Amino acid sequence: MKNKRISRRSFFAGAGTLGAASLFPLGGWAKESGGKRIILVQADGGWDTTFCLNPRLSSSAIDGPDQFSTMQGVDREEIVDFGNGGPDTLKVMINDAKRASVTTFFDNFASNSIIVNGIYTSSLVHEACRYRMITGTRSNESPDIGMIGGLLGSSEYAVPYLDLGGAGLFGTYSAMTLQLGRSNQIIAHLDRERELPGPRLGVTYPGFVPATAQQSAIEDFLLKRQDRLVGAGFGGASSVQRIADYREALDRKERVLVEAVSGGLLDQIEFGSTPGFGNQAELAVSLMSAGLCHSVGLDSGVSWDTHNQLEQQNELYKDLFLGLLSLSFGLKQVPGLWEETIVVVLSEMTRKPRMNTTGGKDHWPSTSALVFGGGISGGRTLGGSDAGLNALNVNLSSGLVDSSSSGSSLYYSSFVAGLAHAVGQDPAEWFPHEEVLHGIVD
Amino acid sequence: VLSILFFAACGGGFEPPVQEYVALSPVEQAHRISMALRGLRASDAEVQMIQDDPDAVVELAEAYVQGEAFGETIRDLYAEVFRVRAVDSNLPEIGVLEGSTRMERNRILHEEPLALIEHIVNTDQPLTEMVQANWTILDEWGAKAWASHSGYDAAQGGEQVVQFTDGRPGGGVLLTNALLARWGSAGANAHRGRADMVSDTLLCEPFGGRDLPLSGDVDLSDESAVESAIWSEPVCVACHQSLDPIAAHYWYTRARVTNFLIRQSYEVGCPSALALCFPMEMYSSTIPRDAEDQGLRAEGYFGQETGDFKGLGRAIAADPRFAQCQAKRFASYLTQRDLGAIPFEEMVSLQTQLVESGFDAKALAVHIVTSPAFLAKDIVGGEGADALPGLQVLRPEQLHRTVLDLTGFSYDMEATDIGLGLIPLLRDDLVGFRAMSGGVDGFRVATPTHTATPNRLLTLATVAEEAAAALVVLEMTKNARSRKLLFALSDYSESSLRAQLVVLHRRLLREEVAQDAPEIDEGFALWEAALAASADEEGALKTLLAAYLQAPEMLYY
Repeated sequence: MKNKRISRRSFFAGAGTLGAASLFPLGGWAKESGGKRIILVQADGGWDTTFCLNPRLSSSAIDGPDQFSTMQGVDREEIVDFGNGGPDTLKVMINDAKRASVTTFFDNFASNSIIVNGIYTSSLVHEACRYRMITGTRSNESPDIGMIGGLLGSSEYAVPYLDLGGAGLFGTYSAMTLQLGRSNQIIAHLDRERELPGPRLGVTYPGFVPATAQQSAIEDFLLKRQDRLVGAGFGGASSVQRIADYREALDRKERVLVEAVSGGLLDQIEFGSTPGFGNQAELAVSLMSAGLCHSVGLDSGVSWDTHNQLEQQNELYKDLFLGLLSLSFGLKQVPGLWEETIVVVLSEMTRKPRMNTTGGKDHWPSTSALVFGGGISGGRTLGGSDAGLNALNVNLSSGLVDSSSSGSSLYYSSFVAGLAHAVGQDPAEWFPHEEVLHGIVD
Repeated sequence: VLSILFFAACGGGFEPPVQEYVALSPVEQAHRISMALRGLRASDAEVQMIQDDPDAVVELAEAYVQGEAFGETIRDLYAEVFRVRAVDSNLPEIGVLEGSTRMERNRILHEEPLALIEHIVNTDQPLTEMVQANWTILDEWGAKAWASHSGYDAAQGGEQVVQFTDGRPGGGVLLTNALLARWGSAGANAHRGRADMVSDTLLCEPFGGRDLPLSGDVDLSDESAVESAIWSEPVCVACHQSLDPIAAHYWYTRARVTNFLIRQSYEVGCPSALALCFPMEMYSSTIPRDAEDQGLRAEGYFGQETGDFKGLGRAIAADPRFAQCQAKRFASYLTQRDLGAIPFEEMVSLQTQLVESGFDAKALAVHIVTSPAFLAKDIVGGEGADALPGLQVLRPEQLHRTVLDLTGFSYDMEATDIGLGLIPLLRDDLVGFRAMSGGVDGFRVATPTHTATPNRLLTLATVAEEAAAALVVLEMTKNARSRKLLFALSDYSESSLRAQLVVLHRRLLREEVAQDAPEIDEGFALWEAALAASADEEGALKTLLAAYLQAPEMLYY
């Protein structure tokens, strides 16, 4: 894996013998370094970008979203310029009868939003595209961009990367992550006093919850056993990594148990309840502002894979942007959070220009992304695609379409490397062999 | 320390560097072999067997693969390969499935192909049968859900071998109802996704992982141009000439089974056999097929004519890549290394071993877990240490089996009153903790996590606490001789406690220590601290057991 950096291991090499308290010094390296926090939103299944970010009306080459509208009154597909009107201006497809939330979002946040079009995924397969689009590599063993960004908060935050969507990829950094579960089941572990159905009808958990002093005795014992494991003579990269991960995960677990209470997590989730995207968005803001986590991964919570009913994209976009509105207004309400956060919204692919015979559209090997946040100088579009949705070449230094012979293809790897650069990670370390897309922050 | 010398291959007349494995202790070896093959700790007798004769590891492993727990491991292994235990796969409680719980319906979709492979392995059939068998295994709800089978004895219940009555020609797991349901096909893609699954799972050669070249020569937005290109454009032909003939075998199968489509079928009254209603037809050899009219290639396998699934299964079984891939998958699963991390020489050696044994999965597993590298703690005198499998991590399924075996406790949740059934929390992702604790959810979490994470330790802590409570209740009312784990605890005197701690260290912490060893002193100090913090000895015992059951040596083996 070309992007594996041993930052965490070297971090432990220095701090590993100093005890847990020194692992988490006060004061955030992320802020000191000027790095950004990141919220990665995945719309899994492949969105049709013509409905929103890469607006196209029907033509000889494209079946656009207008095929599902009456084109009368507010049920009208319309390409609206939310930017400066220049050649790279931000244009979006709106339909206030079907996707009013899209209009509301760009009315409020276009000046802090960038659309990146024509990102070539090099694949038509969901998983392969997903790995590419979130990691910048072809491997699911690489960390996604949320994890890469989250590492900037590894020393300050109990949870550098909180995976609320459940679809994150962590590479070798799993010990720095936390998941709440599809039904918020983590509450069974964080709030041990809470009664839950047990293994038999009429029996409830918990059967035993150690009191504070008992817990203290357990923790002392675990630390002693941890030390024995360290000194047990296990060699080789795998064992060394796993022992180091135990130390790290144990520290972070203890911090999570404390901060889940102080950060209000326990009050915001309910066992057995599957959080929708809007709930995830609110929770992300809350837990970021409480200081539990540095960066967050979210998921739209529904499938965009509309092989049969393309019209469902209307509802999918409507709900997605309702959630993004909640997320954005939430971030703005917390002093500094909007400015220090970059939100990346993407889907692993888009859909073909033309309809298939079963009422939907099949896979298409390019996609778009929406990037926004308080530090983004928005109203712009990077990259582009031609009349048939084929990705166009760009000038990677500016991100603008460049049809000259010096233009480059905008591959997923350049896009993710550009995101790494935007959040403050050095793309040369993570993506040493990739050209970096510039233009998101500079 | 048992040391095993080996010589690194080295040409040119140089003196080969001598490297020396630092072997695990006999106790650790017994536990590592047992955990890898069964997900259970070795018994005291088994540990003693290796202490008495370190060369008995092969004998021990050969005994393990004859047991039921090895079958569970085979299921778990192939659950990760085929990803059938998919959290989002479920069937509605409708038609003949009314009265079933969600967990029962999940088993319909999750276990059929896994049970088939387990049966092949348990009955000592060659592993190649997994792609050639013309039967399947269904449980009572599966027998109701799927059509066109015979031989299921409802009075007996449980999982049983059944025969297809719809002309399914063979193909083993590839034509199981559940695999077809898990790996549906969007109609326009003509089953190519399934073909990719076949190549990925059985040959370790996924088509989907390949790059689609950005070629200006094909207008991808033009359907007819694309159809033409897959026959004529070299960059397209390179994949499609192999992919499409495998996909063609699936022409006679049902393309998609979704909850939504099933409900929709019932709403319109299940008008025909093609409707998605139970019992559901998943295969029909009478579907008219005209490959040329569809612009598709005929059935085949990398240039060989196959005709049908029987031919496909035969071709896969004879393909050296099948043996190599399955050997690699066994090694990857049993030693917790990524597929790509298995060295070429090891892979070839295992492939040879598998073929020469007549595709004996048990022999392959024994060979892997008794290798010096797997049973090593370290290497000295060379640079091979980083290639060692190293410390192994308790998978969530193994945690379930281990704790159940040690304590009698199963981390389950009874939710029948809301239609879910008894939820095995360490083997479920809807409200359980499998993927959160390092397993796969069969859907978007496709690869296991082999290390400690905060989620994993949270799960381990909760299970340890609940199991400690259950164990004290279950064991302390029995006399000492009939207990499973606390048999050395006659009373709460120091000598009795120290004797019991020695047992806990052997069974849970994988170390053989004397009653006056520093390790036991630490355990006794824990007891004293726990007693001071508890109202009575029972509370202290629960505290002590909760600590031991979540020790790092429980997580790692």
